[in-house]
Amino acid sequence: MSALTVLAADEFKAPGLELFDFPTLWAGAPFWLTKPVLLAILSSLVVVGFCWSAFGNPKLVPRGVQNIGEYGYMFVRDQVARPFLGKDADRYMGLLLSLFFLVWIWNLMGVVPVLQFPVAAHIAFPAVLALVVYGMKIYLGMKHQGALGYFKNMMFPPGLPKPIYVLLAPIEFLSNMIVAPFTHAVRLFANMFAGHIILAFFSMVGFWFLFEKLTPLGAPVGVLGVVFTIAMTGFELFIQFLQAFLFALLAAMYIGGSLHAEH
Amino acid sequence: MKAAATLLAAEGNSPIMPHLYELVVGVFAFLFVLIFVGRILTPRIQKTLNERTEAIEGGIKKAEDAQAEAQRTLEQYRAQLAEARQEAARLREEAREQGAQIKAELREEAQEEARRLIQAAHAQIEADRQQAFAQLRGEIGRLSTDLAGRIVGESLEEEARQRRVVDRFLEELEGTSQAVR
Amino acid sequence: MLPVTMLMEQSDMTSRSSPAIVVPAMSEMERSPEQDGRDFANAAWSIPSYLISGMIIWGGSGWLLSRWTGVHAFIPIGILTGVVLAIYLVYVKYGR
Repeated sequence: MSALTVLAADEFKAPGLELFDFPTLWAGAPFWLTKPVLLAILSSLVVVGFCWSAFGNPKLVPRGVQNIGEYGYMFVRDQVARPFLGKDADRYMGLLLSLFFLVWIWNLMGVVPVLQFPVAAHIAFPAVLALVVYGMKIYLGMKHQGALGYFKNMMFPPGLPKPIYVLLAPIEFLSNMIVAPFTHAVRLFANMFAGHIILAFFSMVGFWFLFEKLTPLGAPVGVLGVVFTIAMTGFELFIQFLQAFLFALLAAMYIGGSLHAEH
Repeated sequence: MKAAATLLAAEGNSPIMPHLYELVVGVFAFLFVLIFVGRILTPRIQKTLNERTEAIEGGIKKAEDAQAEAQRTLEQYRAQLAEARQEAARLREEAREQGAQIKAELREEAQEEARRLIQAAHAQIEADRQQAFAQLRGEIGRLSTDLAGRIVGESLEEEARQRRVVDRFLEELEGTSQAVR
Repeated sequence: MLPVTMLMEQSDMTSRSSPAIVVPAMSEMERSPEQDGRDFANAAWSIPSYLISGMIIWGGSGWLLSRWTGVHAFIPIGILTGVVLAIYLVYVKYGR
């Protein structure tokens, strides 16, 4: 930051956590009506709207939006559901498709001009989805393996001397019951959080050195900022997709693990 | 940075602490999507995809059937063609045989006819000769008698004797002509 | 949570509408290459989780022990034990 302060006459302030604090949409609006909330609602509408136009009245010979929607469906089915759920894949496609599309649109909100905030960068939203998957994981595990059998299969892999279980079982329990759902939510949140900061930083560098304080020395830095903003936007698009994919994939993995005991 | 920290402290929210109202909104946002996309729309597209698979498999089946049918028809046609060719060859052969037979029969008939004609001609000739011979014999007899009568100057009254004389004469004549021959 | 989970899982009626065509393709997936791929993915995603859990559990135990005895060495020993146990656990579950 000191290098930047040398270049600029006034102090350049890198964006920080204030990026993630939003006032209500207008003065006097209800306290909960903020930009992330609005974007979350908008995302749901976008997802449902898109899916409705794609799958609302599906044709045997697809055309237009249905083609795109089917690409999405096939991707989730072949890359997420079938590898982890096998013959149960079709049963859980509704959940996985909803998760994938919703998370992806949440993330995409980060690069849509004007909106420019990835909904998943507020941890409440990924947490809700992770909690839902967590609840399903435990419910299905107990349903398919029995309440006791589920925990027994999880914590006591067969064929080990008894004292070893004392050492390993706590790790299994913590990993499956707390760390896994936590990282499930936090991985998505952290990626979007960091991505948003990076994009904000580079675009602010470009804005500051090219518009706010245009100096001969600072101009190249500003240009660099703009170039990096564009490059990082492309990279973010990839990360946004990847994180949506991974979120759905982990959900499928957890559900698959609950349906069938490992080994 | 410091300002941000104080702001954070003032509002008492850290990025890792979820806002309660956002949790509530998140639940409803997700349920909204889940009900429409997960419960209503996904089964629809699944149904369509299954129907498409069936349709494609049905189409393949239909095409295979059509091809088999075409193959069958072709084989049938080929068999018919071969049969027709065989039949034609057989007919041609038969016709040739018949023709040859007819020719042979005709020739036989013609030869027979010729033979018959020749035989008839021979018989006619023989008969004519016999007749001529008999006539000649009578004529010669009369002439010779006449001649002899005239020469001898006497009429040979007695018929029998007259005939005997003529016959004897003729036999002699015949014997000489035979010897000459 | 219960009504929500009921929502997630499609009822038998809709899943039955995915008829025999899907099933043979699926039964092949139960075979080894797919199974191996699934195991590999499970292992790959489990390792960080196990490592963190191992460090928390046994590092935490070491920390308690160091608080109790005053010997600070228990903290790194506990963390290391946790890492080793986590790796062993991954080996036990997926490596054999």
